[in-house]
Amino acid sequence: MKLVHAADLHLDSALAGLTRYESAPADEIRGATRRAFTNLVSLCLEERAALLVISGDLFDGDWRDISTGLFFAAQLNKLCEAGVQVVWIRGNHDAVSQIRRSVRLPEAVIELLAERAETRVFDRLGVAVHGRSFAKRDVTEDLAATYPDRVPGALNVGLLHTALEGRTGHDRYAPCRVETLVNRGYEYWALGHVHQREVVHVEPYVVFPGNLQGRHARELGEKGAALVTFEGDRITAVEHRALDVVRWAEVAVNAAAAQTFDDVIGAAQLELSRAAAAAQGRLLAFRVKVTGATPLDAQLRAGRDKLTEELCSLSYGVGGAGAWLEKLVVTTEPVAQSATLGDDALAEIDRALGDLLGEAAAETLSEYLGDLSKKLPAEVLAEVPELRTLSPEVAAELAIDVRSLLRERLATGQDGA
Amino acid sequence: MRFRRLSLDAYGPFTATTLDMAGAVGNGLHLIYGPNEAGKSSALRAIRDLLFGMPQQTQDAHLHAAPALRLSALIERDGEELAFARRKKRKDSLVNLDDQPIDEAKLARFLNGLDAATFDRLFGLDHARLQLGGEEMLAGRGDVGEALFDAGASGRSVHRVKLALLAEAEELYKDRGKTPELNRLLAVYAEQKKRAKDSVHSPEKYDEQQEGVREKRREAEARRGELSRLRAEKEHAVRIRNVLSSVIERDRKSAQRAALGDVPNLRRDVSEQRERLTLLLQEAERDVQRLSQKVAEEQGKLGRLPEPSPLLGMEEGAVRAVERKIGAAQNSLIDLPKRQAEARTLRDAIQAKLPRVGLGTDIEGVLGRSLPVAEQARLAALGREYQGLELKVENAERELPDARAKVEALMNIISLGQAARRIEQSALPPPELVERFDGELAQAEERVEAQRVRLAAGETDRAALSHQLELLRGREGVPSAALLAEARVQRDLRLREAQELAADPKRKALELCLPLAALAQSSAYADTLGDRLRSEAQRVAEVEAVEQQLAKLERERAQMLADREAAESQLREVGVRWENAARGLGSSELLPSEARRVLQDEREGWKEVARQQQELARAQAALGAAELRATEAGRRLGVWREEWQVAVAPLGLAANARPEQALRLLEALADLSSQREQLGLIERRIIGIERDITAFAAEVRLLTESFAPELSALPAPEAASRLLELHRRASELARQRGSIDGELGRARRELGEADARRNQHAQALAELCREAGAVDAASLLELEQKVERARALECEVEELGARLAEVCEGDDVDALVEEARRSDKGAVAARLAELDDLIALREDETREAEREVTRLELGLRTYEGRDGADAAQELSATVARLAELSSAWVRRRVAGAVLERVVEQYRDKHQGPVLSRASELFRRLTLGRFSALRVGLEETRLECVEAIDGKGLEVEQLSTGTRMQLFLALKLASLEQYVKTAPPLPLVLDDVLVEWDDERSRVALSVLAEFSERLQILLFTHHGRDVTAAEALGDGRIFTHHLVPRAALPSNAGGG
Repeated sequence: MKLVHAADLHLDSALAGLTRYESAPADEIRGATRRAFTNLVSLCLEERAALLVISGDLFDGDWRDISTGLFFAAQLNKLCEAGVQVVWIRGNHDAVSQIRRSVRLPEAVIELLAERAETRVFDRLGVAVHGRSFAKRDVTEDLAATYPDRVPGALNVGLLHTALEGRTGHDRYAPCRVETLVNRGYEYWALGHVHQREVVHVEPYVVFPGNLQGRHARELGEKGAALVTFEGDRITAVEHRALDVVRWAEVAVNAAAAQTFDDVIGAAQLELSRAAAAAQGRLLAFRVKVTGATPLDAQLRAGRDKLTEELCSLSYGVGGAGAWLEKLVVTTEPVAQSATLGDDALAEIDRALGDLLGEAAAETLSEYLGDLSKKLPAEVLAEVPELRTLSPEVAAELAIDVRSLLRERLATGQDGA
Repeated sequence: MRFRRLSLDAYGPFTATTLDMAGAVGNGLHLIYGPNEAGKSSALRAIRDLLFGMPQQTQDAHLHAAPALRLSALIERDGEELAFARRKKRKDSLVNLDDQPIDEAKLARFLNGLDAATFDRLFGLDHARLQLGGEEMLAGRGDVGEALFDAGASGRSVHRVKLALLAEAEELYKDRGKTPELNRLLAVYAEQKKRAKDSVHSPEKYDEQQEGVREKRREAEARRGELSRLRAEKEHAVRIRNVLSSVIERDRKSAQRAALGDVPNLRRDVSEQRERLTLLLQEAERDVQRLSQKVAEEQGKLGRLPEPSPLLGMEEGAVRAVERKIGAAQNSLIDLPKRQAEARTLRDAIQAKLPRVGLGTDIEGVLGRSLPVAEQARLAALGREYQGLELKVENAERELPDARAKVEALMNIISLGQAARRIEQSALPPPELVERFDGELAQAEERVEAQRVRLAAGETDRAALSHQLELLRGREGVPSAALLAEARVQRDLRLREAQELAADPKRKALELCLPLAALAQSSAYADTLGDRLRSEAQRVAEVEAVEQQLAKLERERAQMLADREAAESQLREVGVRWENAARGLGSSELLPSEARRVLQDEREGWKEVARQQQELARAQAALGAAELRATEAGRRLGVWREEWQVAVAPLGLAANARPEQALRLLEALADLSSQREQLGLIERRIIGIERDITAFAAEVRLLTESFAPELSALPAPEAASRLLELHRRASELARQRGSIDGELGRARRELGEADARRNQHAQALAELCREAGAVDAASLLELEQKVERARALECEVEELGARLAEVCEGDDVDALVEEARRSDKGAVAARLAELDDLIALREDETREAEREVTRLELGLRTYEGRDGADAAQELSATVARLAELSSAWVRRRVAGAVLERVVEQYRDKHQGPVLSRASELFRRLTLGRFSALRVGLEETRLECVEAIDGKGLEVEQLSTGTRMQLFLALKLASLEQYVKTAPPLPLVLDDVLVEWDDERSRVALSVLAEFSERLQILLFTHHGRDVTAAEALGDGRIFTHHLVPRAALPSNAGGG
């Protein structure tokens, strides 16, 4: 028999950071989380899974569109008609979801209680599912400790939304130790909350399947669900199945060996084609990171717009469902700093930059940056750290960019036209 | 750092070309001269490529392939030296002189760690950049800070870069703008945000809508219930209404049946049987009546027919024979007199023709003269032959005189033609001979003419050269080696004479005077000649050349004269030969061309004579043939006459009878014979007709005598005709009687049968009536009708009962019947009408409610879309773009701000020292026209102080050249500042003085030489003037190098 374990669907949440440009495949990006969920349903049907367990975060908590719930219900209906048992718990994101309250789910779909941990035994399948939903967003108690004992003779599956003892980039909700889980005696711990796939423990299995669809440039690589095969109370295989429809990738270009701007483009093209091949025909959302000590440092930093343009046109030629450049990040370094700048006029630039972006940077800068930061919406501002309180790191990066821009302009006589 | 040696080992057009700078004391100003096409640009690129590596795409790999390119140098800084080479490679391009890779950092240290761009910016200056620097100062309106920065940094316009950054930032965002990209996008963001909010379907609204749907569904359900109730009531009322009429009808029918009382149980088919038997009986009676009438009619017909005739006793064969022959007998009677008349006419015609033939009046005797057919044919053939023979004799007689006349005429023409010829045919020379002489004479004449022309040309040249020689010799003539030798011989002679005299002790000194004088004179003459030979060598050489040419011409002239003589002699010889040959033509005076025409005429004449002779031969042959034909024709005619006489004798014709006459006689005999034959035929026919008429009459008489004696007296054809008519009538009557007999028999038989049927049917009908208890058929019919009526009523009652049961659909029929009996029909109809209205109303209401439910449900379906998520996705893209643009804007704004500060700081820091040094340099470079530089208006604008009146000119007021000088002054002053804090690097200048006048160039070179105290200067120039000026300066700090491309020289000719 088979069961499918998924988590963190975040249905209908937007894919972030994808700036629209002319050749961008905007239509293909729409409804990505829904299509990934449809893929999950198809997986259950194709594999004739007996059970689908979802370990929380079906919806974003502040997402109030009932359409999402109706879509979810319609998909679950298909599963119920095919005789697939569905059990799920609420996570931090959908603990208080109003959508869930308004949508009537098929009777065969079981949402486990938040008040206490409960066990549902499915004699027909020989499976006992234990779990407990989040009653509120920030659950900080160890829920695992409250889970019931295993049911003898059945395959015991524990559903839990947790960050375990903490995972980078994730709030530490429902904290618990792996030993607690292992000692509980269940055969399989179906975890949710952490978006990065991870098999934390084998025998018994403690598994984060990761989220179903990457939603920004930090959620890279394959995304999907775990397909668990079992005989009686014994698990025989746990496989990961990619179900995402948009694949996020980072195209790393080391410009150290590049002699010309075109060399950088060439290297990016090579990496991009590799990423596209790995995406196996999916739409590719990619971030290009150019690094390395290179004589092209200033040229690359100052020529971001041109490079971005070139990369966009590269993405146009990528096969499969196409590709979308999310962002170009240039963090190259010059090969050799001028050892003795002396009175070189350009050395003055560094000094001026130091003055401008130094300790009193925020005040000094506000003179030049006016009120843009007040006009930008908070979600935009969050992406432009230079317009927030200037940290030394941000100031340093800004200084490098400005220095490169000026050096390049003054050196080549470009007036930007 | 400075170069001690720079080698272009294999680069651009250069091969192993070295600029040796080791000889320079100090840094030196190295003037590198390369005229156009000498590869100056390549050499300039070589410096950059040597220090920083060769680019991927190089334009200097034409003479040497890219992998073979190599540059090398020896550089030195503070006593430390580095010898290295540069190859064209992606990796490890920096190598030592043994081509082993060395670390770039080693070289970088010598270069102060500068990259190519910075080196270029700080230590490279060409004419274009110098000019641009001047123009940028103009663009920046002489802003001191910007000018100093530009000169110090690059010559690029800091002013322009600043403006560009400002413009770009403003294109992205303006505080109160609408069109810049960020401002526009912020508006888009607001719109999308609103749309995203509006697109979200809230759960509350969904719940509310769902509740609405439920409410409407309930309402629709209530409407449907009410409708069902009304429809049921209507159905019941309809049933009562339907039952009511059936109940009434059934009651009425039952009463009618009761009134009929009991009826017998008749056989089911009694009516059918009765009707059938009645019909059969009526039919049989009609047949009996009809057949009785028929029998009577036939018997009447038979009684009216006459008795049978005795003619019926005639044999059928005899009747048919008479019928067959009667037509022929009638025709014979008509034909006979016609034939007899024909025979008479023919006999008369024969008798009339006989006397015209002239062979007697007895036809048989005349016809006995006829010839057999073969004889007739022969006679005809002889007749035809005679015509041919007669024609031939006539033709022969006509032909002979013409042929004889023609022969005579031709003989005359031929003798006249022969008499007209000048030359005997056998004496005519062959035409090739004349052609050959003609050609030879023409060639010989041409040769003579050609020699004449050449001689004339040679004469002209000779005259010209003689004139030239005369001019060259002049009045004094020209000394020659021969004259000199002669003079020397004379001198030596005089010397010996003098020596001899001097050696003779007897001679007095006085005697020596004359010989000595002569010696002196001849010595002087020989010396003069010798001197002249040297000093006038050119003229002597020319005279000699002309003389040689003249001698050559003379030799050629002698040759040409000989050639002319030979040509003339050949011409004469050909003439003599021709004369000999032409004598045969009767006139040796004729030229070959004239002779050709005479010969042509003669040949044509002889050809004509020959043609006429051939014609004569043909005419004589024709005359012979004609004479032969005449003789033959005469002979044949004699033979014919003999044959003819024999042939016509039997006809009694004379031998001289004409063939036409014999033939006409033969024709007349044939005609008579034919008519006689025709007459015989007609006479035989008349006899046959008469025999047939007699036989037919006998046959008819035999029949009439046996069966119709009254016809025996009539002529045979008429009697036969009447007999046949009588026989036909008797036969017709006999046939009629037979037919009536047959009809009568058949009618009697059928009558018997009809009568039997009538009796059988009457009996059966009587039996049927008896069975039903009726007295006869009519009372049986009445009984049948009563029984049928009773049965019909019973059926109707039964059917009505069934219909009632059906209408009740299982309900209690009796109860419904009772209810119906109690109901009023009008009341029921009124209620039904009322129910119809109510139902229609309720139906509309229900439909409306259901439509509303559907509409609301469809409304719920809109919640299933994805608009909210799509709008959020769109918003996310805009947020990303806003962030991107904001970031770009921040960078441009900060860059602009930094630049402003930099320029300000740069001015503050460098204004004093740089400006005062630049002031000094500018004064010198402008040859003292300007005395100084100062800061003018608002303490930001640069002013140039004119020496003459101390007036300050702004940058805009300067000429282009002066602005370039100003920029150079600022650049050099800035560099001076630079080398104060950092080790110097070589300054590479390219054609910077190209537009400067000589004096300014000289001063500039002097300034640069002075400047080379601080750093090495490589000044590339394509101007020879600069080299001359540098040499003229005689400054020990200036070194000149000449660029020589390729391997034209074994090594470069560099050197100061």
